[in-house]
Amino acid sequence: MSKVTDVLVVGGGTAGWLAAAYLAKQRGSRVNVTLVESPDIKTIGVGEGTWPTMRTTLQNLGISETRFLRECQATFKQASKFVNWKNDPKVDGENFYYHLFDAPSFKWDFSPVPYWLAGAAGSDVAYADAVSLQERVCQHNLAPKLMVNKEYEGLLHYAYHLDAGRFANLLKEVATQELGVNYIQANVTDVTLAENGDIHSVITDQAGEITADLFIDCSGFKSLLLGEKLGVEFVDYDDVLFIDRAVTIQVPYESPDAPIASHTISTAQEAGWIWDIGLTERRGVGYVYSSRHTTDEQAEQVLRDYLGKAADDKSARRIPIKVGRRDKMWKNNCLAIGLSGAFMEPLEASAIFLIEAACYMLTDFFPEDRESMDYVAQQFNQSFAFRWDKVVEFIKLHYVLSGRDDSAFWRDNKDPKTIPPALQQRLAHWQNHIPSKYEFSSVFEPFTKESYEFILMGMSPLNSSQEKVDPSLIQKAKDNFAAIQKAWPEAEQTLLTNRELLNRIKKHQFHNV
Amino acid sequence: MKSNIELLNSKQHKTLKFDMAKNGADAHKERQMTIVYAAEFPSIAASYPIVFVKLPDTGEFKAVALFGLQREKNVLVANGKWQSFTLPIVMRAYPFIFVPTNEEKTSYSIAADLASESLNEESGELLFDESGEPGTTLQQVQEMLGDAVEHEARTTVFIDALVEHDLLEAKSLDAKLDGVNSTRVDGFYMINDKKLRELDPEITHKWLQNGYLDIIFAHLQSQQQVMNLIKHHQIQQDT
Repeated sequence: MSKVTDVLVVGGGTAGWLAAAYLAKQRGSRVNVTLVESPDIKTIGVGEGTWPTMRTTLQNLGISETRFLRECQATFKQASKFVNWKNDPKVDGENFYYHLFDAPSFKWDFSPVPYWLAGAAGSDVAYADAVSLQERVCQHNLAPKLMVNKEYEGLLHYAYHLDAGRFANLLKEVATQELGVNYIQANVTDVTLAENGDIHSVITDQAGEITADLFIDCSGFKSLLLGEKLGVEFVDYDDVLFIDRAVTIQVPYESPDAPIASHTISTAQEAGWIWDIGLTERRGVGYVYSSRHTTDEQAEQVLRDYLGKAADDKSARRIPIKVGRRDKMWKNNCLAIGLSGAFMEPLEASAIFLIEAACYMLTDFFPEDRESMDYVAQQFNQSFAFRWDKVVEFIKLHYVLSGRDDSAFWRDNKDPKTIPPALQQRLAHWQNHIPSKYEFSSVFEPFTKESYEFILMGMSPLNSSQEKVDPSLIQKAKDNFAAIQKAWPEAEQTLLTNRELLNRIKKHQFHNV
Repeated sequence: MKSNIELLNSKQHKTLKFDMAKNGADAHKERQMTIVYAAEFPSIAASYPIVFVKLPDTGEFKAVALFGLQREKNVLVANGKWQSFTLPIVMRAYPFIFVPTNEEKTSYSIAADLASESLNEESGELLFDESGEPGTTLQQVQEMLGDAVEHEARTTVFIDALVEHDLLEAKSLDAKLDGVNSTRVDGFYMINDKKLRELDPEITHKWLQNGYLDIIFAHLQSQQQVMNLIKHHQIQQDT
């Protein structure tokens, strides 16, 4: 039995350092973790939205939230706000809806959906606003926690926006200084294979040949090991999701006390959508678009129009995106984590979450020896193919439900030929029925029934059936809705703005108790 | 009694007088707790439970002596008098208060709670003399100020050490304050006795020598005073 004792992570960045750090933390007593990173190749430098799992991940790594916020210029993310997705603003005026992290199940002991549909929250109250305080908290740029809350503890469920480069640096420091990860700075010039097709070693320009038992490919879009050397095919999703380019500009705030948004803003455009993420010292903004529906020059202009004066003297960066995934994440003794394995448009910020998911799965289900590796790899491949396919479906859902038809991009997105069959089936059923938890039977569905409900109720509430309204609960639902509205004035008084809380974190800290 | 704290200066407060006789305990009937300094823990531990709380604005830990177990309730003041043996320094200085005048807390000034009956224009001693200089009372207060600033700095260092060694834990207790129904009392932190005893011997030796252990044990011993407070709550309930 050949034990797996040496793991080599190829590539730094968020994926590489998270994988190295997590593996070293959870398995460091049994495996040696080395990371080799090129001093010349830059990281992608975008990728700044996370999910609430990041709080657990950082805690598991032994990193303090106070340190993380300070060193990564990070801010709180409580939701995604979808602006002008529901309808064309030229026709219906500006419109928006929220997909919150604060899901009803945290505070409701039954689903509020049928009761909201039946009008128990009052007329004209948006779904997200009815089921949680969080929409208003976001609208007012308030933070989800107070200085007296513990590390990673909040009054509302939250995640983070972070500076990608600084995040990788923080992880690198922790990995190398606290967790025993060996760090090699060198370019990989060649990859050698063993007789059975496994990767035997990488050859570098500064550190000679490095062998390992397990290789983690974190080389970004290049997919140096899994894609290039092992030849794993790339499965395109461009027949479903059209976005294949990004243009991005970082801008400062107009003033040191300009509000910091507590949510990712996604604003629909003629050929895609613009992401807007607020960090402490700057905003990261980008337009992801379809090159089949617009030109690079037009796209950059759309982005500059969105940003106004702030973008005047700033240069834009153009990034081509390959939307899709490798046919397998794990081949032989090589596992791809991050962009090397898959990428979709960041509409729901799934990429970093899926890096975390891969880390959790790898450390829990680690192949102790080569003999067990093929089975582990098969499980990985099944799991991640499923997860990525569900991510694609969920993203596509936003396009299919949109009422926009003001450009070819929006009209083409509704062509049934571009809609995955599983999604078509679900949507056909949801025309007249409320989602059931039994439709989401896999524990690895990245998006829960409640996430789907935020999108459905935000974009296209069913005219549906009273089928799930339990008359004995109507009053309770009304009381719950009313209680949420009633709690707002005190919340507004008690909570600080994001800007204010993040300023205080510069000098004070959260505690573990 | 709602406080009204103002920095003192000879122009604005030219005619303000301080009357000790009117500096009664009743002014503190709604004061549930007061800040205490590490150096005084041993001398007040037989009178009050000493616990730690987080300041709402910053989450910083501060040490306080408790006068009651419910918000805005002081059960140790009855019939215009304190029921306890000794007053914490901050209470002895009342109505005068020391406030930092810069963010770094390197500079302090004397302020006063003008809501106190002891500060008025009719009776007592003028705070400032004709030339605008501090009178006897204010001079005494200034001396106390020097000590208090030093006390506060040392207390901060002491509390930082507790935090650094992960010794504080959140505590709550259920007490029958009215003799019948249980009320949950929380929002307080205490030193975890077990973790204290598991500290590296090098640390405990250092703390034996620099006096920290005395302060820590005074805090732990003072928890006996919680029973005293509960008793006072029950007594006040009946009257």
